Amino acid sequence: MSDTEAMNESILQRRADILAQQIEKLDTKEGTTALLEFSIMGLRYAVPLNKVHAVTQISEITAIPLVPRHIPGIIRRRGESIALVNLEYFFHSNRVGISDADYAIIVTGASKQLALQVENIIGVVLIPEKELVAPQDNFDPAQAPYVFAVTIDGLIIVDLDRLVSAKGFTAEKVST
Amino acid sequence: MKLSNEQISELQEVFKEEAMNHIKAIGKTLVQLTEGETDDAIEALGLAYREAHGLKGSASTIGVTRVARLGEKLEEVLRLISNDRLSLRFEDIEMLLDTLDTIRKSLDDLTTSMDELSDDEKISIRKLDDFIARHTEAPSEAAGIPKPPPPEEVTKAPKKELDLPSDQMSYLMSVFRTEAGEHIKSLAELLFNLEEGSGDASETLVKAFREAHSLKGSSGTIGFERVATVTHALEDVFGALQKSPESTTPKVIDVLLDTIDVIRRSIKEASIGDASLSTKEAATVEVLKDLVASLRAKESQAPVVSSIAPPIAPPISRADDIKVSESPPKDRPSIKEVQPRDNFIRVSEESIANLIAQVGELFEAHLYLTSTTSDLKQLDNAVGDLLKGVSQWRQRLDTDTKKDTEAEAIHDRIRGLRIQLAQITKTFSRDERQFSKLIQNSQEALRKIRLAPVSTIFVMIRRQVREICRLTNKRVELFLDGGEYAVDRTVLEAIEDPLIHLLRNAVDHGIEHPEQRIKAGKSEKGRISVVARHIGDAVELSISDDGQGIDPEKVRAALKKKKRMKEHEVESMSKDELFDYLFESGVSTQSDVSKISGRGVGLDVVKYTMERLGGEVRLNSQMGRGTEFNLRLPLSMSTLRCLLFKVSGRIMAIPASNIEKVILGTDSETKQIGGGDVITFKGVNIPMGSLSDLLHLSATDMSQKTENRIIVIISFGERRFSFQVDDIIEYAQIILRPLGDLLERVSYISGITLLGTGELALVLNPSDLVRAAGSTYSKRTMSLSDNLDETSTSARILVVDDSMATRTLEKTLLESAGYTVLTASDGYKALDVINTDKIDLIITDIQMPNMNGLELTRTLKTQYRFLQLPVVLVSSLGSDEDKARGLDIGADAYIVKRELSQKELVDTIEQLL
Repeated sequence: MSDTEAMNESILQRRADILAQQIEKLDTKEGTTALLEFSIMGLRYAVPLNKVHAVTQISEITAIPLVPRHIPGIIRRRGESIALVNLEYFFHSNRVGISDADYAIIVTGASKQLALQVENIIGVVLIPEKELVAPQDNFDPAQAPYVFAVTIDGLIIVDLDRLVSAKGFTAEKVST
Repeated sequence: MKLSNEQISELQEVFKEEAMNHIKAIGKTLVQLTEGETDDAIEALGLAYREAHGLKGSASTIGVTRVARLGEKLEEVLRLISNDRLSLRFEDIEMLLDTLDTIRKSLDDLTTSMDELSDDEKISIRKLDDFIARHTEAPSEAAGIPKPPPPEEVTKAPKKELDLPSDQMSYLMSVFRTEAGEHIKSLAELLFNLEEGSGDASETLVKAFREAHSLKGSSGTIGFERVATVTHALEDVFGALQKSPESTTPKVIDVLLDTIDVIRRSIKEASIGDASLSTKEAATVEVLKDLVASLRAKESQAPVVSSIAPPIAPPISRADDIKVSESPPKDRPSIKEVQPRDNFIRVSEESIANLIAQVGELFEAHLYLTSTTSDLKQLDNAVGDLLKGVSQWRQRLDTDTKKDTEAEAIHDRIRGLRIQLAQITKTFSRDERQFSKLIQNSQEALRKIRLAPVSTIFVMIRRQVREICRLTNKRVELFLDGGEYAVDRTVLEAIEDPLIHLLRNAVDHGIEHPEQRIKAGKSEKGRISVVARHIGDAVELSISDDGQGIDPEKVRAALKKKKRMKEHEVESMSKDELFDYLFESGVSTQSDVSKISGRGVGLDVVKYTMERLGGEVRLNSQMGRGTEFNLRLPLSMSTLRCLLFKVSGRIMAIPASNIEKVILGTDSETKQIGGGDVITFKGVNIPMGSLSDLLHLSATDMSQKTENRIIVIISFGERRFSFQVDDIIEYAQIILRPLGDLLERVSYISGITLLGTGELALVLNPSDLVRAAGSTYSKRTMSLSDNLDETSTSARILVVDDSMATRTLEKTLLESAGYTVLTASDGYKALDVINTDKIDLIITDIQMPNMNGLELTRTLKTQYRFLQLPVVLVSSLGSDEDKARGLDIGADAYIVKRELSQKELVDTIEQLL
């Protein structure tokens, strides 16, 4: 191994170590919750980081007939098909149609894998648990069932388990 | 060395897996004993004893004292049973099975103390101790293991002459010689195996006996009397050796190999009808008879207890017979270095799944290459056209030398490029083919890794049926068959739960109580059959019972009660349509929810599981006769052959196994019946629907001229459906991918597949489509039997015999009598034919490999759809007992091969048809 190669390897190793430490810190810091923040139609939302598998840019959506309206189709990732969910259907009920959001956050909710279609990925945030509050009475009742908490500065944390468990969320065979 | 928690946990997992395998093996033996399958009892008990020993050993090694103690006691009990030939009561077997359950529970909870016994464990140990105490004090009793049937007596019936033209006779002889050569080769290989001590000696002797028997049968049938006589003597020797495998000494093997040489010569020299033995043949027969006599004398001198082979037969070969090179060449590692500890390595399922996924990705990547090959060929054609254009342009040019020179240069340049392009295309195409072959080989190898025999689930089935019978106080005879067919492990694991549902339903709701059965003219015991058979690219598992069947009116009432549809729609439903609804969640004919079944979720789970696996489930039921479920299991989870076509601009696929026919409009007639379209094809009206309508896509132009229409007819079970497509693309192997967690139950769609063009195609679900046809077009659907023209005049007969010579002879005799004849070489292959072809009568040999004629007959006679199919047994086994045995299991006639004549065969067939 040449000196340059050895130096490169050493730099890469250090970088890997630092990255590993950061993740550990993020996960273990007491009293905080790590979230992935994103936006839809200008509003800020987040999902727990431990439910996130990957973030990807949507290159192609394949429409599937006879599926619920909030599923515009499937995307493919590493040979796997994942149903894409248009969150606007749940959080902006006045706007139902084709979304032009072109990012997908691949998450798990109620033990099922799905991709959330979002406009922008803002990044990972650490929120002190004491800043998380349940949706109040003035919160939109149509959205409330799918919201885990809201932060003081208005970040809406999506309850993925409840969202996926909602009636009609997954496809069902039509009765012939 | 102190192990980490992680290492301990990993060790415990490995131990658990091993222990479960031991438990399963012991459980299997015990269930066999309960069901009276005592032919192999001694050997099986020996194996069970070794399994218990293994369980005890591994539990002690890992330090799980609780399980080790249970294993030790179990080992002691099995040793007593096996060595002292103890009679077992039903309660004893119950006690042993309960012990296995206790051990299973102990394995589930290894986190608690490794030493301290739980209450259940204490009870089990006490019961085992009681058994040991009872039997070590009491004198031994005979286990009642039946002796194998006496060897077959040679039937001395006079040989019938075969009245066949000389050319047919000469063809038959050549077929016989080829086949006899194969038997001789197999016999020699088996004898060498015996000499080397490779494989199980008893099993090898059974195989050798079968080979000799087949050779004797076919030579006798054809009339090669000399061969038949010598082979008969050889068969007797193998029969005697089966009872004392340890007598297969090198000297005996020498005699047997000499005999084979004699037979080989006889086959070459002998002629039909020639019964006078040569001196060598006569001497050989005498030697063989002496050998049999000495083996029988040895057997009769042995004390009664030792007449039963010990659990582990001693090896025949001597270690000093195996020659190993002591100094291997230096460029090769020594034998010790390359010799693995055993022939198996443990690989996690996950690793194999990853490997399969990666090869799947390679397959899809390869599709792009195929597409590129096609693009290159198109480019080559385009350059060819360009070249032609330039040539024509040159001809139109004036005779201006300068221009022509320039044009020639352009022409030559393009021609040069075309040659290069052709070369690249050729190389690319060759590489693509090689790549494709490599991927196919890898997929096939991986597929085989994942294969497991269907019998893997038989123990579970036996256990379930036994348990449900106990709970319901019903008596059931369970028939299992086809266990050796191999299916993807994932498939077998996935169908365990559906099978449990079906078995529960069969015993709980299908089989009547003994008094009801007697009243209905049935035997007191119900019968449940689980039979696997190979059909095309799938294995079909049939679960049938001879119980009361499903009452369609009860289903109708249940549907009305559910109020999911209008009452008049439910009223007009056919039996098949009603039964379809039994696969929907919440639809059950049972008014009460019993402990065992009737919750109305079972069949929904069955259908869902089968669709997820890419298989299908069908239901047949007849009131008073019974119910049959057919689960079609894909052999492989890796690829699926499909027809690709276009509808409303989208590419779709449908499994090729469900395609009945693709027809052009001109070959068919479409008409309106009851307000909807049907297509009349070969006299059958088949409902025609629109995929665009069903899938809510933009409509296909249905008004195309008749001659331009392309119509696809699909089938699912007995039902058919047709639809128009815009274009047919091709038949192709695809990888069926699920739609993802949220889309597991999408109507009409099983999944998607990636095409070479990078597009995703929808893979349609044939079951849903025919069902849609049933509900939407029910009034126009006419049953197949109402429509079919009975054009066939000659009966179709299936001849089943492992001897090609006999098959050919019987075929010739029957064809000359005007029958249409199909053939199969064993019971399994026969089942394949019967399931795919219309057969009016079966003629079958008894002694055949894989599935013999008796098993075939039993299989057919336990399925009500084949009850009326006549079966004629034609065998060289000619004793009255043999005939009675054949007729008892349901054969309609029995003919001894040596007495076979065309007249007798034809007379028998005419009586039965």
